[in-house]
Amino acid sequence: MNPQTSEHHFSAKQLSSEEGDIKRAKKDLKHFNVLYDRYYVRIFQYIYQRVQTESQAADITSDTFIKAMENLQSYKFMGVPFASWLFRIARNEVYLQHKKNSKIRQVNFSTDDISHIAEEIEEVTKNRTMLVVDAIKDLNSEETELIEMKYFEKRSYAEIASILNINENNAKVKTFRVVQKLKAIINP
Amino acid sequence: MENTSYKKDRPQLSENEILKNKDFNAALKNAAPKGNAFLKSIKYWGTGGVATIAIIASIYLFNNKTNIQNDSPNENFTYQPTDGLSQLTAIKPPFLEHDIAYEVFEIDCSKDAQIITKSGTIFSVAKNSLTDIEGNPITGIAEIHYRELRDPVDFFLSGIPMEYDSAGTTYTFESAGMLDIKAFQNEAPLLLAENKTIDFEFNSTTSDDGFNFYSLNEETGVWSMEDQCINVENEEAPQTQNKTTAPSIATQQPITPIKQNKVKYSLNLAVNKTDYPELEKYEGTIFEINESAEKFNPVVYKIQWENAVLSDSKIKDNYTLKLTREDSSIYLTVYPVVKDAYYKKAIAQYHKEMVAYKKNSNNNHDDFDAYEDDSDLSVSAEINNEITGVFYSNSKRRVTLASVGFGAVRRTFRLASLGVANCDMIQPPMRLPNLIAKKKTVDKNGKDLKVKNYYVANLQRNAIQSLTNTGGIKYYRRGESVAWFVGEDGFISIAHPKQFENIKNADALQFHIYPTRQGIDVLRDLMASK
Repeated sequence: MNPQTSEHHFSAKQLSSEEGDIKRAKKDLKHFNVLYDRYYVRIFQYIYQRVQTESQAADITSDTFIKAMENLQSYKFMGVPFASWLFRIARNEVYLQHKKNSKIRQVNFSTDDISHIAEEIEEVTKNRTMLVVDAIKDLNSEETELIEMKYFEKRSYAEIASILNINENNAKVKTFRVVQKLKAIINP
Repeated sequence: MENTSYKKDRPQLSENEILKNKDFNAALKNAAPKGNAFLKSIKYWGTGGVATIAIIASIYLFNNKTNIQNDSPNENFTYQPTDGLSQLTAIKPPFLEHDIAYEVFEIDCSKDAQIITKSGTIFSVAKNSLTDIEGNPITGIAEIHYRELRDPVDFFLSGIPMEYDSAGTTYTFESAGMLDIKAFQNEAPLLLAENKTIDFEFNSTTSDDGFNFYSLNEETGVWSMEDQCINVENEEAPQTQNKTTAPSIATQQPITPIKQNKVKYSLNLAVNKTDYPELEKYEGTIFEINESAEKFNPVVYKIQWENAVLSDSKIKDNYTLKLTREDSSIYLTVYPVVKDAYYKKAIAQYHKEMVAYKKNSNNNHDDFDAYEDDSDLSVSAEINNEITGVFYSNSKRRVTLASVGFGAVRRTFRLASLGVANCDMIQPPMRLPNLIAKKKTVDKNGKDLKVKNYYVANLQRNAIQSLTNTGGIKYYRRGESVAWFVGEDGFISIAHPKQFENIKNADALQFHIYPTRQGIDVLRDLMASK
């Protein structure tokens, strides 16, 4: 799976510039196009990772930006990239689509991703890919999400924490617990 | 995971393929900002539109020029994960950006390490105490992440649950101080080795008895009482003798009290201030260390100093403090500040004296600038070793120092695992909020507010309760209560303690609405005034 370009860490100058973009968009939504252009691909990729088809991803991405525009007035700039807020909306939208419309939640991964996890848990058997995939199937939705974000999308812990709205230390600890769980599933 | 398909090596979409789905104008056309849509509705204009405009205008002004456009929050929309997505951890800070920060310390795992935190807490990590998640000893440098949560605002901002379940009954904790400690190496979490402990001298928030030691399962939010005795050492410093009331200074311009900045290091010099009347002016005066003059090493707190001399500094309104012992001495630049708890009193005194001063001098001085606290943390480091002796200043003003000390309460205990631990006391039922305010809750302008979940803190106790509003806001029978809730827009609505004094005669409980940052500051000030 292709790694997401992590642009979670902004310089103070970039953050200040983005704050200006948000203020302009709050005054007139037409100016939201700057933020839309900046984040469209990243939000689409995030959603596409979690759905079955391109058209589903396009619809949910559209819904995500519509929700963001509709609720922009209540958005408070807190010195973190606007993307964090968009990802939280996107995450919620994927969940709602999955739940309300009985859509199938898809987990996409590459052979390399699985090899990476296999190395992490020191699984060296020949059929390790299958073992790891089977073990992932035993995880609950939130555990799967952590594996997706850390190993399939190569996100930093800071970014994972910001998307899940938990603190970074919690994201680290929780991810490692999930990896341990995978290991325990494979080698009971 | 149910209703899930697992797809291996699905071809990736190129950026161009993704971009062909992009259509900003279509999204813009479909976006209906809530405020505008509401304003445009016929129903709105047809039913008391003018009155509603007046209310919106009032709210706008009341909220310190913050931009509130939504007349009624949309309950169907939330950015917070819905229930099915929120089980990652029981620790859920309400504002991630305002979560209580960790201090980070680097230690060499092969050597014993003693760590002194900003709050003055000291803990020791013995060599070879840390392992990887599988229990293998590690070597090299590890990071210790540590934070303390000391009052109801800290508890609220950290999102750490403060309820304890015992035999099916839920109790609320009163805390004497909570800590959260974790260790990492190259971002991988570490564990404390079996049979190893971390010894704490914890700077507690109270000297009261009856607190037990609990650890938190961060995943489930369940607290477990540890079978451990906590030793309490009260290091209360002797109070300065011969306190006198500050002389009337109606003919001198009053000195503006500066509020203690809790993220800065401070010293409590309990001096006889006869020769330094400016230091006696406000009760609760302590000294903050001016780190712009020189970097402060908190190890100073651990050294037993034999003598100290306070003298005027070249920096305006600052003093030089020389601490000496047999083999060494250091100079610190310090300036007087007023402790949180005394600040309101100091400000009141200042205003009173300023009125007298203005009357006397007939000058047109500017009004006192409102204090703005930029501090995020609620911890302060204060000296805890004691020095006695007679001090002489360079300016020949003799200063008799009763003591140099800090009213620290040390709780000593051992941690057998990393994570969140709390010195707690279960609140008996009579200490829980057991009175219910009228069902109606309104904003400052009398407009109904919908409150689903709210917090109530007892200003007399270091406790917070998170409650669901099922027929009225609960508050405490004794002591002062403060209640607040977080709106979907991130604004914090606060019912001030005064509300609860006269609630029986009120027909509604009024909440003041603040932008997040300001709301946090207001809560901190309320807690400090207890």
